[in-house]
Amino acid sequence: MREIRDPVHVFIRFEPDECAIVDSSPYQRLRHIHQLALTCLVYPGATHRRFEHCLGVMEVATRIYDVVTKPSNIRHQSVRDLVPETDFDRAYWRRVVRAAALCHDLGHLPFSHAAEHELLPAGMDHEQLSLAFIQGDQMRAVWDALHVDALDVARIALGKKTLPSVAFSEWQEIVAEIITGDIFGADRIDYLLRDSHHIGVAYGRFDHHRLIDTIRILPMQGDSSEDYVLGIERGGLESAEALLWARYQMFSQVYFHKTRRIYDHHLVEFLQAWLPGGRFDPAPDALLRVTDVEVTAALRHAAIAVGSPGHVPACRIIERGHFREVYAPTSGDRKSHLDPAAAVYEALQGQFGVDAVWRDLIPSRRAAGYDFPVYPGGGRMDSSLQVSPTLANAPTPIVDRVYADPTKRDEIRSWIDHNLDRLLQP
Amino acid sequence: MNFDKTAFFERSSLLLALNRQLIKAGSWAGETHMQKTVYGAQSLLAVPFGLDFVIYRHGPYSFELADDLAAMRGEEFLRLVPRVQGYGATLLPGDRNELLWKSYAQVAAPYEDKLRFIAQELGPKTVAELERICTLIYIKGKWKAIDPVQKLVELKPHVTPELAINAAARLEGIEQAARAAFPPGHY
Repeated sequence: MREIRDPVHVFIRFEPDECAIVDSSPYQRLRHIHQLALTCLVYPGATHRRFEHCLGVMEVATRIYDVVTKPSNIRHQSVRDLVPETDFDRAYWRRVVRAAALCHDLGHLPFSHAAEHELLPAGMDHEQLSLAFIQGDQMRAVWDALHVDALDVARIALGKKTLPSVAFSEWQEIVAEIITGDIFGADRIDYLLRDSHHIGVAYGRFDHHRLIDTIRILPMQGDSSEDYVLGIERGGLESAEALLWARYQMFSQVYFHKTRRIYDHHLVEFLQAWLPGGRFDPAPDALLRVTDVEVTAALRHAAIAVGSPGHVPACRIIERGHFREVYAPTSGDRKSHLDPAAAVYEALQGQFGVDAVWRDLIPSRRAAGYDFPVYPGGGRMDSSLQVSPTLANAPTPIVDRVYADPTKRDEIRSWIDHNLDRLLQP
Repeated sequence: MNFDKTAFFERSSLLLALNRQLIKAGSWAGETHMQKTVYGAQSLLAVPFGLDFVIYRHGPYSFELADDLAAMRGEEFLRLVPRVQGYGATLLPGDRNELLWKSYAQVAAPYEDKLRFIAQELGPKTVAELERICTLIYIKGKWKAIDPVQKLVELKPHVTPELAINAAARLEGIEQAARAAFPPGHY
């Protein structure tokens, strides 16, 4: 048994065979991929890497797996039928969960999420690249030594959304949710705790020990259908509320911070100019050769070398000459106009030129609210939305902003002040 | 910016029209009912939602649709209201639904009859019934040479053969009603 010190989980322990995953070149590459891209230019503490996040996900995922498969924590016969019966099978899936947690982010591009949609072939994202690494030649010997199937690792690491054409059993869907789940997934639990720790903000923290101890596999009692999801026992409801508010706060104030978002945009502009063909080569061997280290060196060089590819966006990042926010719709603007940011953005493009402004738009992504089963004991099952007014009314963060060239910011703001009422007329 | 908001508004108008029909039909109208009725409208009546579905929660499921429903809540075209009786929550038209409707009602107008039909046929059913019927539609579309009842039991082990046979009979009734209501060429 080996152990690593960790600022969030204190010690993370792993078996010698699992060391082979950590020692592999795809995993070691994560030492050089920042967890939060250029967020460190806004919050200087945000210099942590994917390397330690994946170790943290392994720790959290293992705790959740151990809790939900503990016989005394299984309250329903139908769930008992779902969980593997033998110690041998449960140990197999525990190894798969740990391996999958370590590997779930192997395919991240340099600077994590900042650039993947614009800089990869259509339809490809970091999860697809993670799949290529998991099933690639470099990891084959590792899976053989661990006695796990690479496809099982991929299923659990990436989930059904990323692998729609792969068949999942009900058990595999549940186990994948331990890592990828939108509400109680180990990935989200670890990144909220870890990011808030490094950034130095209190609002990303919550009582994850209590939360994890109350997570259970529960039947979704949508009038008698017997699909299964991760839910909680009633005693964990307040911890779940705290988790989901932490998530809202972190998205509103950190992940969607207006300056962080514009740095992402300038980074994409730089990479499109600097990379051959304007895109990353998605082949695993090519990805192994490029990390934040190589991109940062190129960025600094481009900022100095006038006329080099990406010189202008490099200067916007290195010399802090980034675009500034000039407009974000108020609730009043949204009441009178279907798409106020579009009206302002299009008018500004006509008035000041298309290169002077940029619109950032991220739609909300949380479908059925924070709806999960809550087990109060006995034969009943509650919906979280019915027992928690907090969850039923949780807001969903949206990004919709217009930015402008800093040299024209004051002129543009003044123009908006004089023309906004006219632009937003019904 | 790589999110096509005009295309999103067009899809949203169809989804809002369906949601209104579900409410009229007395449906629970939660996310699962939206998922299954969109699937039914797209698969049986060729309403052009343009969504990909896989077998997941309670049968056919679209991750893109889940994203769209979330974005519609963010835009206040829909709102989520916990049910007074029963499990879960209902999606209802939100505070800004009329703004959307004013500009995009014409997108949904040609499909109102089909959306009403699906809402009336599937909307009042339970989640368990929807799961069985919609999974059968999926099976019949994907594996034409396979016995759909047998495949349903294989894909959803908690569905008994008796329930699967009953669901197949109900689906046959819906398909017959659809053929009677909408002439050839409307599929």
